[in-house]
Amino acid sequence: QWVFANQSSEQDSNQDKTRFEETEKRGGNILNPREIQAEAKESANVQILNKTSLVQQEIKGKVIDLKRNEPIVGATVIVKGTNIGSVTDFDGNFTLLVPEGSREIVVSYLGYTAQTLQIGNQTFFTVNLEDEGALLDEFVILGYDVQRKKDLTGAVAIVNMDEIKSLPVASVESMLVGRAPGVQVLSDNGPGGNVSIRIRGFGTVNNNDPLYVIDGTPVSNGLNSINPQDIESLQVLKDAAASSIYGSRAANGVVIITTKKGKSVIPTITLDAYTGFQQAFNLPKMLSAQQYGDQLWKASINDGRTPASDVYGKDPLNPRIPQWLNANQTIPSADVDWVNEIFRTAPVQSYNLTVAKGGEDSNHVLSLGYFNQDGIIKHTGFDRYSLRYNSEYTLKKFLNIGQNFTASLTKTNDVATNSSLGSIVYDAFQFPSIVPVRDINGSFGGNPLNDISNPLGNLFRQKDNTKNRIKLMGNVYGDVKINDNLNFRSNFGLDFENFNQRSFAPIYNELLSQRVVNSLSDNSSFYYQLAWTNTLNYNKKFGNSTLDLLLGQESIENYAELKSASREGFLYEDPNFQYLSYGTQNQQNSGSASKWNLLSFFGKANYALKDKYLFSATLRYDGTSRLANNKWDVFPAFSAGWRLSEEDFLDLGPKVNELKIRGSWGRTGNQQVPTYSTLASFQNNINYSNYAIDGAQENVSIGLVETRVANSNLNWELTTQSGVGIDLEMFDNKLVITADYFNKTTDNLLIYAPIPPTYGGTNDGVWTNGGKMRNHGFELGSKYSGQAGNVFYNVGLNYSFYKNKLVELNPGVNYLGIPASSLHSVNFGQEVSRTLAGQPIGTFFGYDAIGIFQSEEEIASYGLQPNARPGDLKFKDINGDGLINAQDRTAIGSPHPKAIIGFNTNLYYRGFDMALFFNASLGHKIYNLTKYKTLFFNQSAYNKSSDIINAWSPQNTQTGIPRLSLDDPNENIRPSSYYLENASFLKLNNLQLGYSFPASAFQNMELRLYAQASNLFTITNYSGMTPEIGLQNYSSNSRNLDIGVDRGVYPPSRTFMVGFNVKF
Amino acid sequence: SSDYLEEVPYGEVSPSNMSNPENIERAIIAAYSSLNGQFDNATSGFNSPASNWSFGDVVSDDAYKGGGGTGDQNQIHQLEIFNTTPVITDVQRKWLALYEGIKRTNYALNLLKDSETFDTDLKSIREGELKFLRGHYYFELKKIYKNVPFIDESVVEIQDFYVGNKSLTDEALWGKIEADFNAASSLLPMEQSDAGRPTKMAAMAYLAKTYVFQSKWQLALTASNEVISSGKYKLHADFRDVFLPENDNSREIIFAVQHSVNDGEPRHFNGSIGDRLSAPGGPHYPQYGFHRPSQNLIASFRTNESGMPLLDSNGNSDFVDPRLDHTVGRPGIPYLDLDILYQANWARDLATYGQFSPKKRIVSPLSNFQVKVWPYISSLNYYIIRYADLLLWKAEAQVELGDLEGARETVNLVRQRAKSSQVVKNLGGNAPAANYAIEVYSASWTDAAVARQAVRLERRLELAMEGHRFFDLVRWDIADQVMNAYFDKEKTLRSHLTNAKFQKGKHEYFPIPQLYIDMVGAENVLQNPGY
Repeated sequence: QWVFANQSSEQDSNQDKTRFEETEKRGGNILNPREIQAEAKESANVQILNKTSLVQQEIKGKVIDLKRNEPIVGATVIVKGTNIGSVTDFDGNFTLLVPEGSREIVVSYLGYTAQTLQIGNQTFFTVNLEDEGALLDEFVILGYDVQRKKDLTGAVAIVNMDEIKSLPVASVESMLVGRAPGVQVLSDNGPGGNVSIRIRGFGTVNNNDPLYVIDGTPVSNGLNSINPQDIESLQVLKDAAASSIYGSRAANGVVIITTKKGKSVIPTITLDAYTGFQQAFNLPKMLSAQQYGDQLWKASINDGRTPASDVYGKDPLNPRIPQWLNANQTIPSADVDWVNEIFRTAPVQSYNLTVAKGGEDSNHVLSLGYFNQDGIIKHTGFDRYSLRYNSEYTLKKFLNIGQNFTASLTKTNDVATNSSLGSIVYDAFQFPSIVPVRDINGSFGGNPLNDISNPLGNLFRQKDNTKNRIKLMGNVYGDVKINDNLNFRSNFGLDFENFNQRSFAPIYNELLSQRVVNSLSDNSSFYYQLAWTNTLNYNKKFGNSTLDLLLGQESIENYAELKSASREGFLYEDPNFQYLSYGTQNQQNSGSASKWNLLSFFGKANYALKDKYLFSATLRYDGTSRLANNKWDVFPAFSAGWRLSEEDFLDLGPKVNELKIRGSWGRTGNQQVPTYSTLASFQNNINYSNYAIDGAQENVSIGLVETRVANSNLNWELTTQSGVGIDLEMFDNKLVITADYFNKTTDNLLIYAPIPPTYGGTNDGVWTNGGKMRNHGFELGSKYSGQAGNVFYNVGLNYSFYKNKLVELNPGVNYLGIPASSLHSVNFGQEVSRTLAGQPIGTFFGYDAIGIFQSEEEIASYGLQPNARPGDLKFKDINGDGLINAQDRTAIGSPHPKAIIGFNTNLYYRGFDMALFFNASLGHKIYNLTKYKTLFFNQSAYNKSSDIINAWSPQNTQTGIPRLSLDDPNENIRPSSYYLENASFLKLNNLQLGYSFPASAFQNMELRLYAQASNLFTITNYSGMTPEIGLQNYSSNSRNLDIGVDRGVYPPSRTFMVGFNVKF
Repeated sequence: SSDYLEEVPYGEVSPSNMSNPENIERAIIAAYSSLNGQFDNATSGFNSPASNWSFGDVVSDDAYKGGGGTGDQNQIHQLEIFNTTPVITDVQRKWLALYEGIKRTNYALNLLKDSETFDTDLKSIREGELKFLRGHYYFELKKIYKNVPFIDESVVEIQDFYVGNKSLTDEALWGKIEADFNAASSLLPMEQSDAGRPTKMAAMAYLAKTYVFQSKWQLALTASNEVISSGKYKLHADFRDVFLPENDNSREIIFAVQHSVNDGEPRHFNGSIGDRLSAPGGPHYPQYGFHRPSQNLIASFRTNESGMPLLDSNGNSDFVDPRLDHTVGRPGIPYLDLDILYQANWARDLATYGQFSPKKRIVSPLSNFQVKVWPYISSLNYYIIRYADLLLWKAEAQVELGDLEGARETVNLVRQRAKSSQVVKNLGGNAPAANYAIEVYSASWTDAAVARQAVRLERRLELAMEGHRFFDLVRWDIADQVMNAYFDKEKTLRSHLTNAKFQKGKHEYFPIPQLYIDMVGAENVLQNPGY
């Protein structure tokens, strides 16, 4: 029997919510909605006293979560109009003595819609409470502070954790795919692989990564080491109003991640597990052994040559497959589908155990996770062991301390894909089908045709070259409540990583590819970032206005050190000997380090008048070590909101619950140039600065070369962003719509401007402030939650687009290209995209291919391509000078989608749940560079796509594939629009079915079982493996200049999984 | 605090410290370091080879690209069949390598000029070296690209590197190159303690080469004679031994790119990295089988019984110049000191590129100076100028100036050495491996045309596979005749040349790289005709 002692304001059915709001306005130390909840609950508990009086009638009941069919522990049941109440126990049961004459009870629980029930003569009540839908939506964590969503004046995308909390995802980033309008996720698909997030397009040409803030601490990298199961909330600050408090690193948006805290007074143990398998799909078909010979012959004949090949013989009429591929007769000929051969069906599994307990003066969460994903490419995979411990203590009424800490060990076995410097997928495309997987001695089959080593052999030989990463990330903080209005917080955060990879290269001999001396290289790095943040919060209510003030200071130190060593000549290749000491020759080592620091001061003021006129202002003053002569800059932001729905003079009707319009303007900065970009210096480089001046055969003198081309005047890049938005809630909050329009202009663009080749080849560019970029776009997030009978459902639709344009480049810089050093010999070193003034970033660049010449007459009448023959590509004379030459290259297409769409729906019916999630991108192009390898016979020694059987010939003119030629006199292979394809797609990203057992089924235990499938189908016209092509490289400075170029990606997998969630 | 935001780079030397004499020396070393064509971390040194195997041999009648078919390094195949375009990687990377050398040279020159602490005598010597290096880099640019922008030490700021190639006439550009070699020859001493540094006579020899390329025959003769009369150089006793790493700074070598292996660079980037595709294959050399001697080159070594070259290419003979088997790998002939016969199947893709392999500049795997692992290269220097080369310039000058007998004598110096050199023996070591015959020209030369042909042929035989042939054909203005005649015949043997055609007035020079045009603006650049 519980009775509320304080009767004054607790009887509103909405009591908890009111209390939060009160708390939120009253307390200065609000940092996290969960804390708010916890505090609210604690205060409720404190005020429940065990008193008995006026007992007249006992009623009992059970409170159940309607959707999940689970008991609700700790729900409050009170007699309306009194202070008499009770809370539910473990099984959701309650008992209450009701005074005579009481007519109604009110049942409420945090985050659920309260219910009022008539008592009448009933003595047992089954109360179904409905989840209000993410309570988190109500509060938005803005990093240094928390705001009610209703008070928000900036653009913030909030990922509905409810929809994805049971969704098995491998990484935090993948939680964002299609869930937050204006957020794009680019991934390389490899297990534990690279992911980049782009918020509101590409704001700059260099570093477009958002800032990640985990539990108030900015971190720099390694999100894949975070266990996604530990995430409590995920929010993306998109506009300057929301993000400029982060000033120097916020220009690309801020992703705010909050990890779990103990909530319930009653300890809970949660076990989540799933397992499943992944498969490759949509793999291309290459030529068989005989087909390759046939096509090689055809290409030779097209060139007027007499076909002959060391492997396929000298019969000019027919290529013949020999019995043996080598003189020693150890490699029999075969017919292998190498693309299929490198893939496999691979398991994925995840186990996660969480123990949590909340309470009056402390709360704790301990979580252990293990995630294992084998790659669908053989011998690749990812393991993650993670541990998290979060705790918080109220030591004194005025003092809270807490910490969030995570440690993880990840082990990654990856392989290069989608890279111009080598891709195992390309290798499989190009490896001859005629070569067997193994020769008669059991070794990997060697290849007599080209220098690609056996793709399986390559994968096998590097299978133990695991990248090990230990990451420690966390923060400790103290909160001092100076008085009711003033709160001081000091937070110290650490982001630490230790990386090691030992790469052993064994001896092998595969004809044209071999290694005669084995070697081991051992690379380690050591990295840390320290962030110390001190903030002062002041909150006060004056009459009908509320003022929140924040003042803060932050210092960040980032240090990285690399070491590597190698030896050759290992007597044994056994893994036990794959340590440096066992190598006998050629001992090498190297090491280097870099460091940068940031120092910042900032302040923010929020002012709300009558709860409907909202104003916010932010100012940040940032200093960076990276800009020697322009260290400091100021970043202001202003925003305002008007809650029209609160106005008496505006009658929006009963259907509109909330209507707010918002507007913002702000400026953020970017200083993320490589360290020391402003400092001229010289260095030794063993690869290209030494020389044997004294004529020695095995000794060099040390030379010094310019390290970089420094720009001492380098200054901050400034992004000015303005936006308007609208938030609308209708039909009892069932329909929630948020729409935003933004305009984002980046000035003083930090660019790596190429240097004319008259400067030589060692330094190919200089960092400079060299242009202006503009993004504008629109974002719409909408969600409808409804009920039909016992079916509860919600439907969400996200839509966004951005338009990116490089407005101008400084005089002297004609374009930004991909540095030649990252092109290698692929495509003859020619870039396929350029960033040109007036065009979007990463615009595809080349000739405009306008068809295939069908006849000599057509070639003659066109007149511009004398070397062409029927079946060759026709190129457009862009500048009309009567010549087809390099001046006719032009912008030929954009990799940027015109629309990015996410659609999800969730259904709940008596314990069953179903989730469907679609995503789509429309209107963008992919440069299918795989065609360079697979459709042209220029590089004739390599296998080709079976599509070329359909190449142009006088007998086969209705085709899009040009004639086969080894010499390619028309240079069909040149970069052109021929490679471009429409990459629009719609994909069923995810389908999940679950069932939650009634709590009665197992004692005190909640159990949910589910099955899930991902990548079930994709509708697209794109001919490659997947229309979702990320970046070529996720770490180089020029990565954003190279978008949507398909170089043989690690394909996404189709995954089927089953799993369960247990809580007791 | 302000200290907190102060950047101190680790492991780097600030510009102010570069003026220390020891760092100036290191900046000069870096200027030399560009000579071997390796200017960045990329493994594609073969695109910018010091030896010009692709730019000088493959595009001539001496060699094929080789490798795994026309599709292996297809862009070099495009060079070989004269389907050259301004975007070919090699065309671009060669340019980058040479201008890298120029930039480093100019930087070091400025350091020297500004230094007050550098030893005064040494200062002028180093200045001479740098002028020599700059002369070399521009010479390479000139012979490959024809019209190139001239950048000297007065150009410092980045924006000043945006220069077109229109300001200097052909003659003026040659003048700049001559000026550098003239300056070098006046500043450099007769002897240098470091073998890798040029001497006064090396500069004089390069000056001779500069004159030769402009057909300034009298000047060429004078300069050559000055080098010869200095007595510093002589032909090495044995033709084969000229190409041993142990002899790569012998008295025959006037100036060479110094190569080094096993020196702490794990990938041996200080070695003959530009030639890393040339390892011939077979049991001792894994990979890659590029730079393959042509049938036509083999045929050019035929002699008659009395050891005289067959000037008529249609003639038939069983005798060959003994230099043939020092220059190329032929089936049935022992390969270097490996005690093994070269076999046709060493050669990669012989269906396309035939059975011959390079040999002259290939180092035996029994030598410590040949790297047995990737990149399969050696420390053998690349000879930019060796004495035989200089002698043959002199002979040319003598022919052009009418001193035919003098020319004959000069050519005979080269032939005499070839004659007195050891020949390749069979595996037993008891007999020549083939019918070798070589003799000096004993009959008087009376016809200038015949003499010219003899000198030119001698150049081809003596210097085959050393990266000079194409540039010789161009300066003799016979590239179109020679190459098209070669293609007509050779393509009946080698189908990869089916579509090859040399266009007079265009293919004498490689195109100005598109990258340069794109960056400084097409309006500022004069592209070579036809591209």
